[in-house]
Amino acid sequence: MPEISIILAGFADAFTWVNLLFVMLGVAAGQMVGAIPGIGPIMAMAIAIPFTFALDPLVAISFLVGVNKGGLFGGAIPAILINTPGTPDAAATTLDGHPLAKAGKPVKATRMALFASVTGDTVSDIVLITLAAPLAGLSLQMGPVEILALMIFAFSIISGLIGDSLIKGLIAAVAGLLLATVGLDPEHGTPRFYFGYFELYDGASLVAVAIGMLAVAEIFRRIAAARRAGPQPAISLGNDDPAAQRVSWAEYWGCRFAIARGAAIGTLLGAIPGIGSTAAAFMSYSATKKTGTGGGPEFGQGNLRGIAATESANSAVMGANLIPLLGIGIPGSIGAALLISAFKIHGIQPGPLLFQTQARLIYGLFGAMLMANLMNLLIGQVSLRLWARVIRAPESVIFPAALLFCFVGVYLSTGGLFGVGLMLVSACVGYVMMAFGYPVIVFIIAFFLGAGFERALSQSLVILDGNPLAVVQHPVALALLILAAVTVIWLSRGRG
Amino acid sequence: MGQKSINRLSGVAVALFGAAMLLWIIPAHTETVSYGWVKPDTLPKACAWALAGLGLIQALLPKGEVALDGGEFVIVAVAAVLSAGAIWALGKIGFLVAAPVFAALLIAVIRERRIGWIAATIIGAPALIWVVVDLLLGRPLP
Repeated sequence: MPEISIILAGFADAFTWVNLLFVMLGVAAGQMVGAIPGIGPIMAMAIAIPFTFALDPLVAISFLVGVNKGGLFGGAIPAILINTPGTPDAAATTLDGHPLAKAGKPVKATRMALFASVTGDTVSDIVLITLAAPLAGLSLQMGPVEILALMIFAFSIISGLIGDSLIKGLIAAVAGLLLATVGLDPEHGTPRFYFGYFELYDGASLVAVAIGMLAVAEIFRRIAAARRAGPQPAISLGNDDPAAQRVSWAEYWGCRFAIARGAAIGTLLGAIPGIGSTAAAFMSYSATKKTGTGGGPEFGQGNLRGIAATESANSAVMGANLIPLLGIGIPGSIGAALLISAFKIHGIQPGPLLFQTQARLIYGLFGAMLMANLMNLLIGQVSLRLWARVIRAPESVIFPAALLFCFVGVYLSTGGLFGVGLMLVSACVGYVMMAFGYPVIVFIIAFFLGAGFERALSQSLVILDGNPLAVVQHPVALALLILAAVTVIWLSRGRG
Repeated sequence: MGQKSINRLSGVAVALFGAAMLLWIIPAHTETVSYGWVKPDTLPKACAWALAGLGLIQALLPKGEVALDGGEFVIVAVAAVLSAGAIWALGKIGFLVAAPVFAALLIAVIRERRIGWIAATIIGAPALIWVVVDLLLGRPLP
């Protein structure tokens, strides 16, 4: 645990004017892109990452966290107004949000989504702040054998839980590991798979691969969709009845158990790598539905509790997602994987050592996360009507411009057009993977962990004197390997 | 072609890729080292074997959703080819010429006809990037 003076200094860094400004910009940008179906905060983060390298590390990461948090609420706006979730996380919000909007209460529905989102997110952040440092301290006690076993366990969970097929998840994880072997090998320093391109000596760029697979591949798909689909009719926010415009304290208090349940489910699922916020939202909705309507309309017909349950759960996932990243160095979601790229651009290796080497930065990040929640509330209240207009932004402008930003961003972060070419190849691979149902996020997480995996494997075999069976002398590692095997068997029965 | 057949096909492709890695790519692109527990080709070979095995399992027991759409695939292929051309052009003629042409071609793919939006994309987007990167960040564009 870092000293209290470092923790306080970190929080003080978060509350500087420059940092607050960038958190505010990030939240506003996140809400805006979240409101545009098809863009979402993940694509916005991917595009913005290379442009943040000119900023101070804390400011850059705070900005990206703001984008992510803003997007969590932003995605609910089109879900409620046009029955099209701006982000996959908001899919469950359509169930009660859109019927309530159709009943003439679109502002009430979006405001409840905002309040529940901010509450759930804040609870999750407090859990993150409380748990991450002790978990990091625990993981620093681990040796290479335990770290290797932990990575194998993480791969088994992530491969099984993301996507709908364990085999496809495992294939994506192995392919990501294989890509990570490009470049100099860690034990002998000999180059591998560089195909005559000296740019590959240091391995494939994480930024180029992540932006290619997560942003450019999705932009290609959206360009194809934009050619075929027309705009959706949106419900107008105009309504003169004040009761339909606001969420009263009684209404919010009436949803307190739905919000608390959603926050608990979101935080719990968010802390497990691989379970996304979409699953958390549906699980929370289902759990709340069983407790009754609370005197409101039926679920599916505009019940405020339904909106509160889904939004608090999907937002609570965000903070908890950083627990495995900061605690044990394993990203649990796309957002966390993208934050890794941001850390790396600033020369920071994410993981448990951060609490020793960059404690001030981490507590600054925690302070920025709490500030982002407050900004989310304020900006959401003020800008609701503006974001409702943004839903209609033409895709013919958005996607070509986003693609140009990706080109330039990767060019800047990799220092040449080779990285842009690598991004394009990654986008094509990412598109093919998505089309055939192979989870791209598993590939990227495995690619990020690959170098550490090979290093841990090499060190472990030295410690075990080349005998893998000697792992029985390491009870923690053995337990993790057994858990990994049990997870694979259990998930293969359920999902195939 | 049904989902099962497409899943089988993708499994076969993964298995073949694993086999190609084992037979040609790994021997040709890794150095032979005679010492150490983890040699340069140890992890790549393990991954290749795993891909070959998992690919075969996927081919024999096909599972999972597929989102393959022929029409979308063609447009994505066109966008990818245009992007490859744009990367080449960025190196040859520079951002300020290549970017508007690339944006115009993408607009044509989307079939946007509103002149205001076309102008905003072709002129506005590259100009905004130039202002942010070249003027504000002080970094040269290609």
